[in-house]
Amino acid sequence: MITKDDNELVYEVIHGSISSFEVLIERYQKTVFNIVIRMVNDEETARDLTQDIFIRAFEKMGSFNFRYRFFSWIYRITINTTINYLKSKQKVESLKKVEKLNYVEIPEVDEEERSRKLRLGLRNVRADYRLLLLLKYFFGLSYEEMAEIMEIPEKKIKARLFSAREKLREELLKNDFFNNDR
Amino acid sequence: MTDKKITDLIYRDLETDLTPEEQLKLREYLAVNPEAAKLYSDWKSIKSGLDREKSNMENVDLKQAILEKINMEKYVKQEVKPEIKLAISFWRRPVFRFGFVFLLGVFTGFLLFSFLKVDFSGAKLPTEDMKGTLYDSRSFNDMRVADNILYDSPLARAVFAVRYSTKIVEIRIDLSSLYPITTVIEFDFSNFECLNVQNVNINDQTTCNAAANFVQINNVGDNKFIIQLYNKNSLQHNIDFRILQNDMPLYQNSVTVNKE
Repeated sequence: MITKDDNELVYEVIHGSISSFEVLIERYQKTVFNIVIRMVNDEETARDLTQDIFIRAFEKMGSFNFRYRFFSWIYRITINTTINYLKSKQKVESLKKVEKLNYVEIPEVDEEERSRKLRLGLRNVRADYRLLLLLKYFFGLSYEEMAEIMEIPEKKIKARLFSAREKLREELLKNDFFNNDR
Repeated sequence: MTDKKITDLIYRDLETDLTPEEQLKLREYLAVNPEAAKLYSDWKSIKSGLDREKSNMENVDLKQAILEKINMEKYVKQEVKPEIKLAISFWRRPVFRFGFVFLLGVFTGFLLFSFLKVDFSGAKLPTEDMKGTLYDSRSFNDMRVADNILYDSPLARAVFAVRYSTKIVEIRIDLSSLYPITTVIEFDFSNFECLNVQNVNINDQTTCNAAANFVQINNVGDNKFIIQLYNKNSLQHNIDFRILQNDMPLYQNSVTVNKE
């Protein structure tokens, strides 16, 4: 079976092929969902947002620019949708004066504990830093691809990622993430 | 080496982006700098943690849920664009349609001006009917004959051919004399206006004067003239002809024009 590339599938979707859209969903739902869940830290919300992202992508498919790659386009929608969600959530949370999350549980399994600490550390850094860290270390994107998705110059991506790393390390230091190493 | 530089080297090392020289430099630096070594080990832990997370990416199948939502709410709204633009017929394009009408208008205007000679200037000039009044014009033949007057003596000869149209009276005069004679053509200035006196063939001893109510020719030798008068009211009038020698009348006659 010949595997069609993303842009071919997009072309077919624009011309009415729903099955091509199914293929695109299959290809990207896992990545999109994993970005979202690590940004919002709630599975149910992540599921809803992932659905919204694909529906939005479907609606805007007609305006897709074939000069760009589909993955950067869908990631951009993902980022915008997630950031918007976080902004609206932040407003609600600031009203409720929810305290910053602190890790108190002590898990029995080391690996599990480290993993939780890492997630917690990620959760406590700024949303835009978190996103950069996820794109870089979780999804292994290059600086160039990140620049395309975020629509900011590669130099700025590098500078921001530098700060993001510092912040993540600070957060992990607070949560004793490195204690187990010594 | 600055902190920023060493930090950058550490990050790049974790991304396996360092050249062998840079790697060697980093190792040497880490060996003597415990703070940098800690940063390096911390980031190794973070990296391994992230890698582990990466391998534990959660699987999800939201295809059905998404498609259901699309089918229900959105799919009907999807506008399918035609793959190939249909060629719009030539006449259906407004630019061609209006362009054609414009060109047709210009062409019609050109026809009106050049062939029909549409006059947009308004009033007609009094000389409008001076059609064919030149000596060799054939239109003189088309005019109605008023009279042909002939004076013939051994020493002088005069022929007056008088013709008229509604507005124009044309008199063709042929004079021949061995001595000076004066020919006077008289008319009423309230009925006629002298439009033109043309010396068709005259010699240097002959003169011709036109006034409001007469034209006088002082003739010696053989000469030809055309005199055109404008009949102001297109009614019947008389034109008098006199031939004089030293102010003594030799001949006198009168012609009526616009007799009908």
